Amino acid sequence: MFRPCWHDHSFLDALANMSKMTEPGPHLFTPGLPGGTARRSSLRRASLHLTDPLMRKLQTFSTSELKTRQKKIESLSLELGMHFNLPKNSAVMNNDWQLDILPFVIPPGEWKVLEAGLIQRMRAFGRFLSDIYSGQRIFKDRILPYELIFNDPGFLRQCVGIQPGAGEERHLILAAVDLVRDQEGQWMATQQHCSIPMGLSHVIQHRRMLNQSFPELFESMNVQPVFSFSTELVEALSNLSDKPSPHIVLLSSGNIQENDFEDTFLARRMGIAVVNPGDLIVREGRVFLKTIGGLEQVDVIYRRALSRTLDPITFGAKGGSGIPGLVNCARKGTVAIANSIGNGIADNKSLLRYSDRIIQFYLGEQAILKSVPTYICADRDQLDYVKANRESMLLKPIHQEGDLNRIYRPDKRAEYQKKMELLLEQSPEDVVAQPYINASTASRFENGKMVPRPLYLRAFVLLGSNPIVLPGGLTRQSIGSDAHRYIADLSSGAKDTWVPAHEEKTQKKRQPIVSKQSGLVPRDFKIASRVAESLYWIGRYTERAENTARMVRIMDEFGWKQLGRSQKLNLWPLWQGVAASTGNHELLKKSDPPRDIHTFGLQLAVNPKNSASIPYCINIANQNAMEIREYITPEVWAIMSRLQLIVSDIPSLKEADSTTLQELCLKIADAIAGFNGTFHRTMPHDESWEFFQLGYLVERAICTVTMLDTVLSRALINLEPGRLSDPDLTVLLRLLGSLDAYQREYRSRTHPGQVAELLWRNHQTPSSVAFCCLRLSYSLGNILQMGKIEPSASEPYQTIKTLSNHLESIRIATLFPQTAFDEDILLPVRRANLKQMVKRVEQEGSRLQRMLSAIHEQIEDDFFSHQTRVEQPTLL
Amino acid sequence: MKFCIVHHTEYHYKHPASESYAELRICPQSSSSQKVIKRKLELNPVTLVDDYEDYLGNKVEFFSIPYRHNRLVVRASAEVETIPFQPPKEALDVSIGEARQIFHSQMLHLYPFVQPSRHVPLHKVLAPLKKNFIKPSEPIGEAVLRINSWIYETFDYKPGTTDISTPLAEVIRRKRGVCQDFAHLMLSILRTYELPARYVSGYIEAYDPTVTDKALIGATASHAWIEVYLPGGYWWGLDPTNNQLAGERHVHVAFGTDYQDAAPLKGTYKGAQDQELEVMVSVKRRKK
Repeated sequence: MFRPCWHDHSFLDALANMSKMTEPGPHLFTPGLPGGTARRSSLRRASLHLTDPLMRKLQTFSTSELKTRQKKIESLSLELGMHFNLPKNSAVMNNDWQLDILPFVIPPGEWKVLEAGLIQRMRAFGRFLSDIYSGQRIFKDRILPYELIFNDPGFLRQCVGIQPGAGEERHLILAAVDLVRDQEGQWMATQQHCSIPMGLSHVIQHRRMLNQSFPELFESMNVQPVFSFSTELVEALSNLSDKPSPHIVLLSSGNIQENDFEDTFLARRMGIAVVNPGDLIVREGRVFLKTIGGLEQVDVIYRRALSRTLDPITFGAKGGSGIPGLVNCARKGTVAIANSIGNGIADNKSLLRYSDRIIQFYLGEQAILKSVPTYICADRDQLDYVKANRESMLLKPIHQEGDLNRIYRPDKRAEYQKKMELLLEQSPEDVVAQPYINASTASRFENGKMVPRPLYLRAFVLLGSNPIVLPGGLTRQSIGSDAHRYIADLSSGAKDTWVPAHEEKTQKKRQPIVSKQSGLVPRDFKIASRVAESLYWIGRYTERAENTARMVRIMDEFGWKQLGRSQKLNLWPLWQGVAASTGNHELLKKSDPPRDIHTFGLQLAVNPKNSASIPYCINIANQNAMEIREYITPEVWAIMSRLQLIVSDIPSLKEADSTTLQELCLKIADAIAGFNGTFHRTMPHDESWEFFQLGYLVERAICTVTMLDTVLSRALINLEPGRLSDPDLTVLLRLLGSLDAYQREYRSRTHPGQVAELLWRNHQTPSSVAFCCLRLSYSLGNILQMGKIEPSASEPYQTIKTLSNHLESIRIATLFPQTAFDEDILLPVRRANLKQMVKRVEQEGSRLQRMLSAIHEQIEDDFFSHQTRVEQPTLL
Repeated sequence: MKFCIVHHTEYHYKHPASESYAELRICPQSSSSQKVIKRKLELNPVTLVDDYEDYLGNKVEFFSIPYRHNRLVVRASAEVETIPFQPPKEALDVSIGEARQIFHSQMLHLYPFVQPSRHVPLHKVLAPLKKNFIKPSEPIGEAVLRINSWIYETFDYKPGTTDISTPLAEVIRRKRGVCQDFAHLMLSILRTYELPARYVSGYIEAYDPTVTDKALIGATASHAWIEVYLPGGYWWGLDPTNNQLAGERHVHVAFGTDYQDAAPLKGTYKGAQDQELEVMVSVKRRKK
C-alpha cells in the first residue's frame, strides 16, 4: 500500500489495485529518515495508517463530484480577487495559482525533523545577519569568503553597527525556506527568503478555500490549524518593543503589485494598519504616522518594502521617496524594524553552499536540514564543473537586486533559460547552479484524472523567543511542461498543506501566550493623512474642472468677432476673472483683450499645461484616486473612468470650434455632477468623505472670491454714470451659477452691492462664500469630533469662524454707498466716491482671499503635513 | 598651524519648504594630523540636532525641521590645529607589487576602497587616457606622487563646467572639472591598480598669509582630495587639484569611498523645486 500523495500511478487505478499489490511499486517513497531503510516497513504502515482515512473519504466521491468541488475552488478564488480590488491581470484573478482539491499531507514524524531543521537553520542565519552587520567574526575566522557578501548589493554597508534591540536574534523575525524532497525522502533547502518572505496569505487562503469547497476531507483527520499564525506573528512583532502596547504598522512599498494583496490581507488578519512610505515621517529621531488626528508614534514596523527604497538620505535613492531618517531611528532604537533593513543579503544563493558551516559556526551543531548542492560560478573550478555538466544543472541568479531581478520572473518562463545561459557566459559571478533534483511527486486532480506532479514546499519560520514553524506551508506544483520543474517560483499549481495533529500523544504543549494585546480595545484606526490629503485634492480638482468648464462655455457663447469694441471691453473683465480664478494671474494686468478670445478660452479649457484646465485637473484627481484606490468605491471608479475617457479625446481638439468646445464643457459638467452625486451616494460618510467636502468647498469659495474681486472692481471702474445695471454683472452671476438665485432674491436689475451681498454673505446660495463657510465649519466640526479634538484647539476651525463673523460684519451699504451711484449727485463727486468705493472693495476682496488661503494652509498643516507653527525665528 | 574655520550654508526656497530632514558631515575630528580645539554648530531655523558615527568613522549630525520655512542656514564654526604628519619613508619606499601583497592580507577592512562606486568607475573608464600609470616595481610613494602631478598638469580646473551628476567619463573626455572630479579620477586610477584609496572632504587655507603665494584652489567651498593606503596602516593624503600633499593647510572633515559617502549636506524637503544655495567657507590662520 502506499500513500496517495507520493506516487506516480494514476490514483484511481491504484485504489482499484490496492488489494492486489503486495510489493511497493516503482518510485515509491517512504517517510524520510535519512538513510533509514531498516525502519521502512513500520513507517510505511504508520503512514498508510495515517492517510487511510483521507483515501477512504476520497473514494466516496465520484469523479464528477470531484470536478464540481474543483470548480468551487476556482470560483472562490475569483471572489477573493474581487474582494481585494485586485488589478485585472494579477495572478490571483487569473487563477494562476490553481489550488488542487487534494491536500498534501506531511506525516508527523517527518514534519518533526523538518521543523527542527528549519528552526535550527533560521536561528543560525539570524545570528549570521547580526554578525555581518557588526563584528563580522565569520570573515575574521575565515568561514566564509567575504567577497561573496561584499559584492552583493543587498549588503548595506550603512547598516553596519546597527543592532536592533537587545538580544542577538532580532534581525530576523519571519523567514521562508523553499524546500524540495528527493527520491530518498530527504528534504533539502533550495532557497531562502529572509527579507520579505511571501506566500503566507496564500497558505491561509488555501486552507480556507479547501475548507469551504471540500469540508468533508477535513473529517478524515485532525489537521493542525494555520489560522493562528498571524496572531503569533503579531505577538513576535509586539515583543520587539518594550512598550506594553506598541503601535505596529505594516510598511508596504506603495506600488500597485501583487504584493499588495498579501500586505492588505495580512494586515487585516493581524489587526494592524497598512502604510506607505509617504505616511511616515521622522521627527526628533522617532518615527510617526501622519494621521488626521495628528502624529502617532510608530514603535514597530513590519517591513514589506525593499530595504534600499526606504531611506533616501542613507541609501541615496533618487527622487527622495521613502522615509528620510528611518535608518537613524533604527540606529537609535526608537523603532524596531522586522525584518531588519539589510536582510536581503541572507537570500544570496551562494550561502546555500555554506549553510552547514554557518550552522556549525553560530550554533555549534550539525545541520539537520541540508541545502541542495550549490555551485558558485564565480569560482573558476566550480564554473568548469557546471559547464561540463550543463545538462543536469539548473542556473539561478545569485541575488535578486537590480538587473538580475528582471530575469527571474514567473511570467517570463520561456525567456528565463535563455537569459541565464547568457548570464553564465557574460558574468558568471552573478550565477549559481544547482543540479536538477528528481523531486518527489504528489497526485494532482487535473481534468478528472489524477496526475503525478513534482512538488515544492515553502515553509515559514517565525523566530523570536519561541520559534515556531507554520504547520504546513505553501506547496507548489509544476503543471505541464517538464522543463521548468524545480523552479518553485515559476510553478503555478498549489496544494493545501496538512500536518496532522498527534492523536495519542498530546501535542507538545505550547506555552499559552500571555498576549500583550489582550484585554485592550482594538486600536482605532485614524485615517492616514495621505488618504485625507488625496480626497481633499480630489475635491478641489473636480470642482476646479467643473468651474473651468462652466465658465469657458458661458463666455464662449458670447462669440467675440462680431462684438463691438465697447462690448468687448465690457466682457474682458469677465474673461480676466475666469483667468484669475483659474490661476492665470498675468492676464489681470492686460487692459486690452487679445484678438482671438476663442482660442484663449480654448487654451484655458484644454491645454494640459494650464493648471486649471480640464485635462490637468481630471488627471491629477485621477492620480490622487489611484493612490488611495482601496478607499474609492467601484461606482465612483466607473465615473472616474468616464471622465478619463472624455479627457482622452481632448488632444484632438486643438483647433476646435465653438460648438465642439461647448459640447465638451457640457459633457464634463455632466460627468462631474454625476461624480459628485455618486460620491455622495456610495462613499461612506466618515472623516475621509468630509475631507472631500472640505476640498471642493475651499475651491468654490476661492473661485467666487477671486471672480468677484477681479470683476467687481473692473466693472465698477468702467461704470458709466447712470448705468446701474451692467450686463457684466449678469454674466458674472451666470458664471457663478447664481443668476437665478439673484433674481429670486432681488427681482431687480443687477446692482454691484446686491451682487456682493449675494455672493459674499448669503447663506443659501451654493456659490456664496458664507454658504461655503457654513458647510466648511460643519464638515471640519465633524472631523474634529470624530478625532476628539476641541474646536477651540483647531486653528483652521477658528479661522473659518473668524471669516464667517467677518462676513456677517460687512456693511454692504457702507461699502457700496448710494453716493457713488446716485444720479442726483454731481458727476465729479460721484466719480470720487466711486474711486474710493473701488479701493475699499478691492481691499475687501484681498482680505477674503487671504483668509481663504490661510484656511487652506492651516488644513494642510494640521492634517496633512503636520507642520508646527512657529513665529518667524530671529536671525543669528 | 591653527585655523578658525567657518562653514556657512544657506538655502533659499522660493515657495516655503516643509518636512525638511538633513544629515550633515561637517564636523572635523581629531586625528594624527589635526586636533580639534573648539566646534559649534548653529542652525536657523533653530531645531534639535542629534548625531551618530557612521560606518566610515565620520561624525554625522542630523535634524528635522517640522514647520514651513523659506530659508535654511547651517553654520559650523571650528578651531582646528593641524599637525605636520607624514608617513615614514619605509612605507613610501615599498614597491607597488609588494604593497599589493600586503594589502591582500588586510583586504577585509580595505575592500570598499578598492571597489568601483557610484562616482568612481574603474578600468574601462580610463581607457581613453591611453596611459599606463603604474609599474609594479616602482616605490609606491613615487608612483602616487607622479599620478598626483599628472592630473594637475593634464586637467584644467574650471568651476561651473561640471556638477555632481557629471560622470567621470565626461570629465576625462573634456579634461576639465573641479576638485571633486579630480579626486574621483585619482581614486579611479589608484583603485584600478588595486591600491586602496579613499575620498576626503574638508577645508583648505586659500591664502598663505606669510607668503604672497598663489591662492590655493578650493577656498570658498568645501575642498576634496584623496588618501591612499600605505603598508603599515597609514593613510597618505594627496591633493591633485593643487598638486600638493595634504599637509598643514588641509583640514579633513569626512571620508568615504566617494563624494556620496562624504557629502557635507544630504537632505530632503517637500515643496517647490526651485531653491538657491549659497555656500561660504572661510579658513583663517590664527597666530599661536
